[in-house]
Amino acid sequence: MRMQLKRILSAASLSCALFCGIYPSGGQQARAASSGGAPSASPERAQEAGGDLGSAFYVRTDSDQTVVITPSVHFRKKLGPSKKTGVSVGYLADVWSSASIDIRSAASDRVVEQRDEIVAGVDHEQGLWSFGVGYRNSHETDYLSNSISLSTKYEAFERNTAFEFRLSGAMDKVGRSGDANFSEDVRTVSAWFGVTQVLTKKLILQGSAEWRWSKGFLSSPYRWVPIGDNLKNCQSAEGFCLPEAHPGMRARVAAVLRTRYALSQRLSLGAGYRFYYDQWKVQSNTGTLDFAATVARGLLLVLDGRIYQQSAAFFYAPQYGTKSLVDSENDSAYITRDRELSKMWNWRAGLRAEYESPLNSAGIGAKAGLMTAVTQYHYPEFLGLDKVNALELAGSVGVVF
Amino acid sequence: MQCTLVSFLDSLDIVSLRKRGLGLLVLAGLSLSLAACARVKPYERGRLAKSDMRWDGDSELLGGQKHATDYREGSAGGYGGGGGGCGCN
Repeated sequence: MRMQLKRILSAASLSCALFCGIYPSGGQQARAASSGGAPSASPERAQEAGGDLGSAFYVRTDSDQTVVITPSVHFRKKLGPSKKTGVSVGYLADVWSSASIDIRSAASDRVVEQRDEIVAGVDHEQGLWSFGVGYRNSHETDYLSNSISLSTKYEAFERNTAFEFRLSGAMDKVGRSGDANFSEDVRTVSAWFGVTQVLTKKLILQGSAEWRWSKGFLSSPYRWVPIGDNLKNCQSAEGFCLPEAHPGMRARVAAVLRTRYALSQRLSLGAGYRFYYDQWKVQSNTGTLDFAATVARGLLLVLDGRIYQQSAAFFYAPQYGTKSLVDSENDSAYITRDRELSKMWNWRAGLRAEYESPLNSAGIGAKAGLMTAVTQYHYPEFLGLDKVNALELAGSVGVVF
Repeated sequence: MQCTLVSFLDSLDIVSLRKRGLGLLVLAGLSLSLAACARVKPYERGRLAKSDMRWDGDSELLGGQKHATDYREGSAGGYGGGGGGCGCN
């Protein structure tokens, strides 16, 4: 059994599987569709530019001995003289190295892996309407995902209100390294609806909700759960281990309410709240707050904070004794060693700078960005790990034309 | 048709999920409907067009952070990120 534990990936693959976002449409419209934005109030620069080419670099390291390095590149172009149709393509490589608690508890060596992702999209504006379609392919040695999304946006009431809708579907194939016969499917469908409203000339508000349904193999193919009292890992001879077993279906709902207010001509305040609940009885609350200041022409500084809290899944237990399994109150055979299904909370503080120069006489401009953030995770009911500190750094450069 | 939908949702054992989600959506919808009474003229929206009034920052710069956040927590969604998976750690 232990031989099969030579490599462990976190069952975080599930939550990632449900939220590795694809941006269905290119250019500023894609960002507006994916992140909201005031109706008819997208940055003036986006109205002028016909496209952009850029790259970014992201590094994350944490006290759980995991390092992630993600270089990426993208290209967007508005087509035709009217610039109403746009295309976009992008690529990123997600290279990570880990000896996390999951891997250490299985007495495995450090794992190094790479994920390659390709995205492509087309968007089109027609009067008060805009439409987008996107495709995303994510490939790893043991995981393949293909997803598509369709989105639309309509602006009403003199463009004071924007209604947005997005539908996406994903077909994933889960494999297991070293086991050519292991192949499982995951299907995910999600629907997102958002309304953005200009309240005053200084205040905007957005409400949105999203439903997601996933069906298939929702466990980690690598994670095993120690069975036995006071047993923390699968190295001991005092107990035994079983493969992680999650329910085969998960329905989720999340609702978000957020607002932005212009405190002055150069300073604004943003605040948001998200409520989340799912079929596995995980419930979470997320609060965000940020200050954004234009400190010079084209230079934006943002100070942001985030706090998150969640309850545990109904089948989560810090330990599964043999007796508790037999006398299971919930009458289920579901077991997990996924810390993301345990009770947890975290906070994050970040600072970033974004710069975009004016277009020159040739119609070309430059842009750049820097970001850093610290996050502290707390796991009060997870054996072997009670706190993780993480540091993130990112930079981006590009040209706008 | 409605009964079929209700039966389907009930079979998923997400009754409370459905209630909570719909309740929040209705609340948000009502808030925004009331807000729609306030009309702001296009020439009054100049301040809202500034870059500091965007909901989120540069998607390329913040893409890695969003990705990391999503798969290190038990919940996700609400911001319109879409579906699709990976075997990320």
